[in-house]
Amino acid sequence: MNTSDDTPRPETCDVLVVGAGFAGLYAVHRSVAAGFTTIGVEAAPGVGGTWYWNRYPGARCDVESIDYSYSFDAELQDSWVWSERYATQPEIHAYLEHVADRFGLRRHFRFGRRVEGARFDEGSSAWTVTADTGHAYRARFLVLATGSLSAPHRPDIPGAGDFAGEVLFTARWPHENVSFAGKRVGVIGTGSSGIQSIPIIAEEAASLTVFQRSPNYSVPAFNRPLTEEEQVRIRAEYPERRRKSAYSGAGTPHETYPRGAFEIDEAERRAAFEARWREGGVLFGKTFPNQTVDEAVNRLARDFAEAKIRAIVTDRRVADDLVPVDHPIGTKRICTDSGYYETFNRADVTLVNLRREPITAITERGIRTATGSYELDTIVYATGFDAMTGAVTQIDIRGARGSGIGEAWANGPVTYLGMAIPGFPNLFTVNGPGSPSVLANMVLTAEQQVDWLIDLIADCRRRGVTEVEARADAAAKWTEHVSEAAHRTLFPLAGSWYMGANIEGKSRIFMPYIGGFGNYRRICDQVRADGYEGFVLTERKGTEAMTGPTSAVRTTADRPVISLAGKVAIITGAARGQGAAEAELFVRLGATVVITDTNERDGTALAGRLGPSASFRPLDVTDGAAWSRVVAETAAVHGRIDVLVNNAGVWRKAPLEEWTEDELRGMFDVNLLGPILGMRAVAPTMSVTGGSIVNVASTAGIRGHGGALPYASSKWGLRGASRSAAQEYAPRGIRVNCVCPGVVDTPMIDAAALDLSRQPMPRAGTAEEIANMVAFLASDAGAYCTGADFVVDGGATA
Amino acid sequence: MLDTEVSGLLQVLDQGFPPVHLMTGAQARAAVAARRVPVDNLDDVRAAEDRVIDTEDGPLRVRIYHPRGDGGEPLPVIVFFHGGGFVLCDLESHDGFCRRMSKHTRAVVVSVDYRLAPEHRAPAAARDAYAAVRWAARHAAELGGDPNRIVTAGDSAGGNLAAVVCLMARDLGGPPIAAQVLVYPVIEPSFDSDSYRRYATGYFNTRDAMRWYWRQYLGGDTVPEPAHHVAPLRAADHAGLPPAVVVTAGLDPLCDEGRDYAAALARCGVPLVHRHYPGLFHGFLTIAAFGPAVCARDILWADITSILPGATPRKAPA
Repeated sequence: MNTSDDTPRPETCDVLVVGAGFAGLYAVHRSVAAGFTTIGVEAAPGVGGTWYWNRYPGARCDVESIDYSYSFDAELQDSWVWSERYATQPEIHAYLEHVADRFGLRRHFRFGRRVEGARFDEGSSAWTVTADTGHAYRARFLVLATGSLSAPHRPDIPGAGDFAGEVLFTARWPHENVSFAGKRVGVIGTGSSGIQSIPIIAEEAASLTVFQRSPNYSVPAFNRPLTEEEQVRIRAEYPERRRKSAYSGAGTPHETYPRGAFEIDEAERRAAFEARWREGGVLFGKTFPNQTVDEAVNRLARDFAEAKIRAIVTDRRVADDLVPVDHPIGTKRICTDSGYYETFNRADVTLVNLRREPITAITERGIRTATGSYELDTIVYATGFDAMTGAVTQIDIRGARGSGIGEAWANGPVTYLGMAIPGFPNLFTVNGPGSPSVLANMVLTAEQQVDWLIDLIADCRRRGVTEVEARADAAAKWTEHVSEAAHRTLFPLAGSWYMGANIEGKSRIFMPYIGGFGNYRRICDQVRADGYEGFVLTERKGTEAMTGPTSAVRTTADRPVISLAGKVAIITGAARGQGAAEAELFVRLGATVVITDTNERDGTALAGRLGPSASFRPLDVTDGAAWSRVVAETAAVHGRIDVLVNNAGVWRKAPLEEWTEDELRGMFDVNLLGPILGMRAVAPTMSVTGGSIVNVASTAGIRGHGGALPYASSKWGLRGASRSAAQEYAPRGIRVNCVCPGVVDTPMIDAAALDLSRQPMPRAGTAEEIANMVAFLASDAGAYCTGADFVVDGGATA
Repeated sequence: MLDTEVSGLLQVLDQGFPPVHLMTGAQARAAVAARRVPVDNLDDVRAAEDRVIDTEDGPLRVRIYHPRGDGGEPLPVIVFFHGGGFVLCDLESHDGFCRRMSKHTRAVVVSVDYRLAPEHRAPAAARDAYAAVRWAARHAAELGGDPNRIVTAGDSAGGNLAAVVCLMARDLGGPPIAAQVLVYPVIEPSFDSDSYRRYATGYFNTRDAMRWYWRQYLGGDTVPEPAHHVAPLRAADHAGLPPAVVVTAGLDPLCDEGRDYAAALARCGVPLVHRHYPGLFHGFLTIAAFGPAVCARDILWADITSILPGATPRKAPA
């Protein structure tokens, strides 16, 4: 419904995200955090994406939930407990609702609006996006987080409309409870949705008829609840697990058997297959190296899987029909089931092999095949999706120079890095064709691509670029590379949805990038390091400026006044809170940041989130030897140190009598000795290029703080140390300053508990507001500042 | 650099390009002309005619390209200045490029055989360029062109002339120019920008060569007055200049000055489309069979077409 009269005025924003699944939620979160005005548009009435729509019985993920969940926030990761190895749809959906609430994402979304059209206006470098409700949006950048398996495919079967019974689609399952009791049910399709739902439907229905076109390999999930012991181990191993996953082949820590299938004897091989089979699901496809490359190795895996099927299914003829014969194992997505093959041993379950007797029509009473007729009360379509491209091409997208998405992709999807399409500036796909997407853990692939894209958009903002577009030749070359990579494997031998083979008339192109998630990440990072090689970056005069970051210092020209481009900075206590805000701002302003902290878990996670410009080094600031190591490593890796921010500090409020002598020493060690050790450690390297040291003190170091005597003393001391260092180091080109924050809302201080009503600005400061001052002093904008205190306290000491 | 086609081509270009800065002008010209690839797109245009026009400084050779298609609406006229460091190249070196431009922008292209250095010092080339624009404006109708849609265009040193001519027309009360198209233009005889330092060698066009080109054009190190008719960034202001399409390449010593000129135009309110190609090098856009060039040209043609005012003739400023 698109009425011209009452079309509302378009809402405008910098970044418009389509979709509220894993990718869309994270895209909105990152975009908002980067300071862009952001709107999400979602067809469903709530969040969840794929996990909103696919509510059929037995729906669950085939990647272990501890991997198939966000990695960007350590606290989120630690606070959520997955009840079983492979969570069911309700649990995954609840997780996404939790994420949406935790990060306040819902308010950015417009639900119940299906995007139907998008048109790029070259004059203003902006997209106009229209929804089926008549709502319109204008955005500089358009991110399509529309999912890989989200455009359901409904086969065109004659008479489909004549059926008098109930019709259900796995991909559009009703919210209310569906009862099969006493019913004769037919399920069309034996992909993942069919294979997961069939055992459950069979339990309840009077009879079940399964209409199978192509048999698929399925491996039991061996799903089970996670024990308390496992939960503890998972949490302990999480950072390492995520670190491994980030550069893995498929976004999970799993590796193939360490030796080749033909390097070991029959017994060892059987044991390896058996062990991998017991791990459950799709992983079986990667038991041995080369299993989807070398047909002989693949044959061994097929034989093993076939024997498993035949050992379960008692009727030999049924087993014959269930054993896939048309594709190497793993070249179609291996399904992950719970009791699938066992179901066919039931007397009330019938398998119809459509290769032998194709469906000729659907009638009022059931399904007719070439040789038989099946009376049914309910038909369930588990017929798959127009995968990877369907959700994009169903939108009428008009790009620059008259290009339309239909024509652009007429011969199959052409993309650069799976994220950008030539002819469609400022439009990006997440998990699009040409990216690892469905061949890897899509939560991590979404995080990686969104991080990269938001960094790109932020770089555009910084450089005044209003339009970024992939070059046609670069996209052609990338698409060719994607195809070549696939053709080095057995994957193209299968008529899979990876190839578009499940949709009549769709181009047969292997769509996902099979070169591995880690490799792909490195390629993306390289493209960024090379200034976005393969893209055209355009500046148009007269286009509307984007909203800038809400916190970083800005000018009317919409660019930060201060730049840290080319600078290498060490920040202590940077894993969380104030230091993390500094690290994030520094990266945004172009610095390379070494995050240091004793909190390794959060530090690593933050470095991962901030991308290639950030890295983490464990550091206890009271340990002089540790300081030397960090300085030596930083100098070796980055060749210089321009900035040191001594941010690490501890806070405690208690009457003096309550402190032990060790506690007193401990506070001075961290708050005063630490920064002094740091200044001493970096000075030799820093004096080569000149540099800036910023010590984060406190207003308690200016006026005293009864009840926090040790803290205030340490901060008074730090101001003295800074001024002295400023005098000592000025001849060596090193500036030293103190930033003295007042009450700031960070995890260290419960600002909400304080009464600030008498402060001139009666509120707590934000970590970003302090970080802005730190960044100013770190930058060349503060070139004439040294040996001084800079108070940022909302007027508290005025 | 990821793109092996680019790095491979750069290697070939670097090895094959003569060390022009160690030669005389004539030697360099001959050495570069010997590398020329034959033109394979003669049929892109309906006709190409060589003419000699009269200027204050004497006769000047031009080649006029007429696009295919029936007459009707008067067409835009693009006055084109070839690159080559003010020393090298000629009508032949850019013949294929002009044919493509004429075909895809549906414009009459007038390619100008301006006088080269060191035989003719600055501002001889600029004077020729300006004379050609005045001639094209006066003879537009005769060429099937629209005098209100005169465009100046050039690559490299030709980009300098295309920019300078717009300043001259503004300063000297010349004909109205509808747009300027500056493809990695040569802007400034100072060689210390960040891009000059980063890409001094190894990216085809070198800092040494650029120094040498400028020395040939200037006949030394001094820019003759008015300086901005030779080095266009030196204009006191850039207001009132025609809308601009600027192309820069990431691996080009001239990248920063192209950027600076685009910024100067934008600051003064000149409508601007600045296309920046990271990962590409000086001169890439005129290489006929090179993927990135094909793509960049397609975008350039579209930019030229869309930056021009509609076919309806607009009034010349009083």
